[in-house]
Amino acid sequence: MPKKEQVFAGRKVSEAGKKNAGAEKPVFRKRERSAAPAERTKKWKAGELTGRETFREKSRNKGRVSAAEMRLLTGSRLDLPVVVIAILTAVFEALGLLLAAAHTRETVGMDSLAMIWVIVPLGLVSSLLLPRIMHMDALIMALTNFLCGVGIVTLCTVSPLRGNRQILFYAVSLGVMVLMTLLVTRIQRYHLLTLFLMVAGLAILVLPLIFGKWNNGAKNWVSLPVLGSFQPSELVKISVLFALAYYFSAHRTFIQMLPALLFTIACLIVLMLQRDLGTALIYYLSTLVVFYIACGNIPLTLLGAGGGVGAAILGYRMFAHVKVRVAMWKNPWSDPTGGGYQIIQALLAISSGGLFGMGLGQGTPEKIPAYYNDFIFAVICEQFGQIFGVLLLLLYVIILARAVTLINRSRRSLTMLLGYGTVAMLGIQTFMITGGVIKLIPLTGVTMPFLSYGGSSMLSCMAMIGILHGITGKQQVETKESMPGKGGNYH
Amino acid sequence: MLLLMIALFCLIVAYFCYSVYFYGGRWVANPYNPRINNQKQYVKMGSVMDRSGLVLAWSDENGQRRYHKDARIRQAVSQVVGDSGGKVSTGADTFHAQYLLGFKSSIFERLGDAITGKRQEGDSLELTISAELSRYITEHFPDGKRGAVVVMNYRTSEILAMVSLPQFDPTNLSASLADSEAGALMNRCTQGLYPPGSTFKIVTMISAIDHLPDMDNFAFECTGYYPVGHYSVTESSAHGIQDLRSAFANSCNTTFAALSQQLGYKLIGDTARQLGFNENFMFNDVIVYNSSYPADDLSPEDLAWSSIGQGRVLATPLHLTLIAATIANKGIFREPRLLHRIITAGGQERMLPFAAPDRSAVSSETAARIEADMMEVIRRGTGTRAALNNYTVAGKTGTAEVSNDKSVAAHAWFVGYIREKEAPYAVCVLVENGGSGGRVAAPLARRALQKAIDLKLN
Repeated sequence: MPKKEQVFAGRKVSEAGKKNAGAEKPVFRKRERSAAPAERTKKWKAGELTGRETFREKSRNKGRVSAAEMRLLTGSRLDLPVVVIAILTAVFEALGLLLAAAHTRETVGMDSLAMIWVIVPLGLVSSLLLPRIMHMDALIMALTNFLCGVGIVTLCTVSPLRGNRQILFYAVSLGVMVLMTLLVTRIQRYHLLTLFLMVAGLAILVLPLIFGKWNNGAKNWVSLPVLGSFQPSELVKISVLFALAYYFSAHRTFIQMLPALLFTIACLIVLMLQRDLGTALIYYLSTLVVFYIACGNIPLTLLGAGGGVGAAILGYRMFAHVKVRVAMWKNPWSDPTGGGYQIIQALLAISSGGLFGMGLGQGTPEKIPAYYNDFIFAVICEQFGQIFGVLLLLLYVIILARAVTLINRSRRSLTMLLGYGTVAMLGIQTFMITGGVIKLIPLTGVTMPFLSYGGSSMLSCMAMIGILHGITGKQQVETKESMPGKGGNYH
Repeated sequence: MLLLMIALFCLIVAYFCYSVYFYGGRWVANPYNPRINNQKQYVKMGSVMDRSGLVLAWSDENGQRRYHKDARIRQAVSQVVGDSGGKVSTGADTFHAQYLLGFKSSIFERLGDAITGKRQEGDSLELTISAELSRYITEHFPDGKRGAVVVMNYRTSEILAMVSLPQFDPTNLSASLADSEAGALMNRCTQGLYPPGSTFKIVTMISAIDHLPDMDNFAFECTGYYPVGHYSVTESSAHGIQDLRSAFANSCNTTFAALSQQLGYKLIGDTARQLGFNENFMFNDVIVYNSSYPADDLSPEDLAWSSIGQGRVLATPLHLTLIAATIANKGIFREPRLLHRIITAGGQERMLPFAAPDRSAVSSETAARIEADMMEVIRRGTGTRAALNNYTVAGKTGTAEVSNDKSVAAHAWFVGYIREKEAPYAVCVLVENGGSGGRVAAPLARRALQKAIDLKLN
């Protein structure tokens, strides 16, 4: 197996890796020795063994294990909660869209009604069926589906046309997620994949500079004849994640890490030219996090952070709209009908919703500029209430925390860094936009993962969920390969 | 990583709760909130009553806002009640719209209305003010003058009257809107920032007692002027040798100018901050503009003028009432209350928002000493016209110059309270360009206090 067993570059990673290997190792070896193999095989054939034991016997005898049995092995017995979440999601979506249709009473509303037959099966299949036939984490999937459902239902009530399109985006994104899961699980030649993603990423990232138009002070959208209009900076996030994970894991010296750093810096420069500063910030912070995890080098990380602060100050000096953003963060009431309008309307919406919300379809969310994408959190707080808003944020934390525990089981630094990068990126983005909407930090125009309207955003977020699934899958496949019966080995 | 994530989440949730809890009500009531007008189409607005249950404003079946039929009462409470159009953003009709328009209704109440098909009805508010007292004060306010009067129960911290002149008639708003110079829509009690004049000597006095040594044997010879920097603080006549109490009772500017030079910006500023100057007032029930004491060390003469409440020191009448109430409460600073009861459409009482915890602004010994000094003001000082029969009044007058032009009359101030606990009323009177505080403001304060006693407001 070429490059199979990688030496961990970082202190943190290697420690975590060792701990995991150490924790799992005795479980199998010890039990293998404890009973006579021949006797156990007999028992297995007679059907007297528990699931975990069956699996072990099977793997000893045949060397082939199904995904369902693998789930038993890795201990993800989350069936009941997942089923509950999936059913709740389905009911929520069905009722929500029904209400939305009743609320709008127009043809678009009727379309939402028809869309129930698309979104509900999609959610159920992806939450309940997919994790059984392929390597996936059912909990992450179910919660992600719920978040998407909340976004779609909200959009269908406040902007039915967008809501219906969002359902299509959601369907396509689920497909992309499955592809990404398979890719991460199966692929061996990361080098080629990373190179391809980097080249393709840079290529599409510069497209808006050539074909794009200035829109809201940024030039980060592009319309292509076949593909339609999309935001390349969303998709390139995947390239960044792979580049960081690959170059930071396989190579230990700074020079060897350089390709990924150069790639990120190139991306940042292009994003700066497009004035897509919010996304640039996400790229930058994620890189910093992955860099620190990979090498554990505090001075260098601090240097990188210092560079970022310098760039931020430079950006503040250079771009007038950054100055406005910061001023409006400090005191939006200084210009309540101009620069501060958006944030004030968001705060008014959140506070008007009260603890339990004005009710679905109630209130006047459309007063907030960008209510359907960046500011959807304010709309959700207005309609569903502040408690619901906080609980939604908690769901993000649960998804990411679950992902972190799964990644910690991983024994390869590449998948580990890939996973941490993904978690960091999703977490940072969620924090940035939520913090911006509630005026905790200056507003940066990024979307709320899974909730905001937008195909590119949905696609990249689901692809990231696919990466997380794939890491689980890869780790399960590796566990299988390292089973005693299969002749694998631990390190 | 996990910890970092949870920390960020907690940060967001903590900030979210903080901002919604402390600012949420203000945001809902904001004139830029389109939801208020929107909600009016669906919800019948609740009524606003005074503390005796007298209905001051209500909505009829068509959703039209109605006001008390007696024009005198209607106008006397006009700024406190406000208008339904949101022109008076600090009025209860706008600032407490979250109750009146049912934003605070629970999900069950809303569901109940939805099932019975009844039009949702907002909560009714019983304010702590007394309409009768407000009307009386308006009637006895010097004719044609502008100004403000606040009466407060310092034991419960309830505002009993907030009268601001000129007043407007909510049934004929356009007339007041046309005359924007008069500022009738503004509540001068909470939004009017004025130089507090000699009433600020209470603050300087507290600072001196707390920070300077040997104040019992303090003596200063007032020669009628006290030179500081390039100017001098002057007095119309020389008071002669003054101890601290007589300087306070006679409101001797030169003595306090001299004290300020000993104290300096920082110490006076500390005391002022303790008493709420430069603080962002975030009271639940009323919007009060922030008072300011200049915290920068500009010049000795600026310091001298600041210490006698001139120059750049600014305060609202309500804030000065709170300072008087703080002295009356032995140094405890309390949040003022305007909501007496919140009554749901179903007739139940809703819980009032929590007030900020009381805090000790002045030590009780200092407060007792200042109280004795303030009683001296009424007994034989500048405030003799505020004296009541059967009750002991403590107070301080102020005559705040507002222009270098001597023909422009000064603002007349009086702040004080009744010492007896069975009539725990604090009062603040401001008459814009009224002249001498002792001659113009003090008699009005006495009338207001007497009326509050007569009405047995508790």
